[in-house]
Amino acid sequence: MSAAVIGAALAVVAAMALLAEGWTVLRCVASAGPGGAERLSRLGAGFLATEVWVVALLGLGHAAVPGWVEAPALLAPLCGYVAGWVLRDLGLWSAPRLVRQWPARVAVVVGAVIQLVSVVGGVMGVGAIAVSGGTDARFAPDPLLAPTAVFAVLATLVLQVVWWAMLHGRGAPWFRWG
Amino acid sequence: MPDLSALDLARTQFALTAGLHFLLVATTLGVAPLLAVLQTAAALRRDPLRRAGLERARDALLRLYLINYGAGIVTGLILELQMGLNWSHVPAELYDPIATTLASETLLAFLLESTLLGLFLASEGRFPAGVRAALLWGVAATAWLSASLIVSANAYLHRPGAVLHDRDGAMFVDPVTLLANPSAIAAVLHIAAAAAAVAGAWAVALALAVARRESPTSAAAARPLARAGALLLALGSPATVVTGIAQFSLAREDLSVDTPAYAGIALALMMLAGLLLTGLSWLLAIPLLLWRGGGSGGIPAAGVAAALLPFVPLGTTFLGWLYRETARQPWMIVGEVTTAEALSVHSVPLLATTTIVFVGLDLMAVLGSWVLILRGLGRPAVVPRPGTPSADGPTGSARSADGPTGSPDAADGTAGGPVTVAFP
Repeated sequence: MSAAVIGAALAVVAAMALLAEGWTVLRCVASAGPGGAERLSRLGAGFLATEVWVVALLGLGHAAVPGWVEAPALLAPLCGYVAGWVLRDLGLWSAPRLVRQWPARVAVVVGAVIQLVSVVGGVMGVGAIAVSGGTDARFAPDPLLAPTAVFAVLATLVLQVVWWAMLHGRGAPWFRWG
Repeated sequence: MPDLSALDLARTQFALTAGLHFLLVATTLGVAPLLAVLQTAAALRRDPLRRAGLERARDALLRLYLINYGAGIVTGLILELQMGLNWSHVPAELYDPIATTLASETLLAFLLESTLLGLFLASEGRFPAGVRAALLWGVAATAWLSASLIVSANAYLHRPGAVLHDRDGAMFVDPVTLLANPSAIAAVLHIAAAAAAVAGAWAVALALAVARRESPTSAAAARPLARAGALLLALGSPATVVTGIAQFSLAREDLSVDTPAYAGIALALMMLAGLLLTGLSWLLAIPLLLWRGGGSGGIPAAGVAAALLPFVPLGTTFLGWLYRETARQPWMIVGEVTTAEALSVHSVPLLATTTIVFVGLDLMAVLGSWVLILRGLGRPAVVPRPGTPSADGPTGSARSADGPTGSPDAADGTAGGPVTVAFP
């Protein structure tokens, strides 16, 4: 029972990481084009709301399917993704505090492109593992994890829907570009 | 240079990264409930001056909290990174309780707590004060839940016998025994008392700093901070001593571990500092409770002393972790796996490099956060919008006090709202 619950929670977290953070990454890549500063201003603090799903995916995956998180085929994409993530967030945090914003804009775009390439590499890595018969990963659900995962994932989904409905698009004064 | 083995370096790295991380955690765990109390009190107040004072007190505390929270994330990530890099040879069935609690902590702290905090920060002037109080109570509750889980994981390392069950030849952990481990309960109570003392010391420091920034609301803001600080210090300090003594009999089943001399010195210093802080907190309690919040916060020396006060309980928490973790040696999980067996295969130069890098980054985060906190002590984390009264009063606007990193303007699409939030 707890295995099914944790599996479902993991699927929801993975979907949110892919869709929500994917939206942020694509928006950052698109900021290389015209109107990029305005696009990033509209993103505001929204990237903080989407990237928490990636952290949750790594945390939950580490406990539930440790073999996948530690698989050698996924090591390079994972390290690349984290490096791109750090670079992108460095740009997003620092730009509104800089007089010249172009270095931060470059960091945002380059970081997001590295993230995008790493995701493609990760998908290929997952495919390679699946073709070769999967990992020796056991699914290690613990009775404590199931209720915690359900509560945390559902509560965060509700809060983020509230945020999206009431506050999205208003930007944030400490993440202003241009 | 001393002849250090890979094991010595890995243990040093763990001790320093864990100890430095906890310096920040002790503050956030103590301050989060106090923030919720101040927001709730502000939501319930009808008197505009008192309400403004409580909001001013909340904002001063919020600035301190946010700086700590950000630095805490940095040191927390480094702590998890060194755990993964250096201690990967624990058998899977023995590692499950640790993996479970780390995953639960990630979901509660990184996913839920940060979402609640983000919603609180973004909803200034948009949500009713009562709803925002509920968000802060959520932040405090998830912070304490995740801390309890992490302490349970640590207590499992010290006292696995209370947690592990052999069922059909396989190791099995059920959540009730994991959380009800006597070693975990004693540690959570000890941390709760220490966090209360730390938050109390910060509140007293803030009260004097706020009072020195004379404004129409400074006395009304300094008073609740001073009273809350006095009570938390006076109750938290002796409770820390009592729960600390209780740990001697509950931390581990086998207490006959020989500890090195430096661990004994750490223990003695911690107990001495705890007793001195208890005496000092009782001495300060009555004048702080009677203080009306005026008089520019008293003589400047008192302000300096108050600003240094939080570092006494913070120092004792560092010494406490040092003693607790040293007393576990040579075991990673007492009676099951030694630290030598759990250690990943790394060369001494690589471990020396990662130790210097990780500890250096941690020190930058901790010392940087303290510099930011002390430089802005008493300043609000919120910036008034044009057309609203300055939160910092006539002697200087909060925007100018925040410098160039403050909120640039109020043009975030919600013109007419009272304030905008400025990150440190």
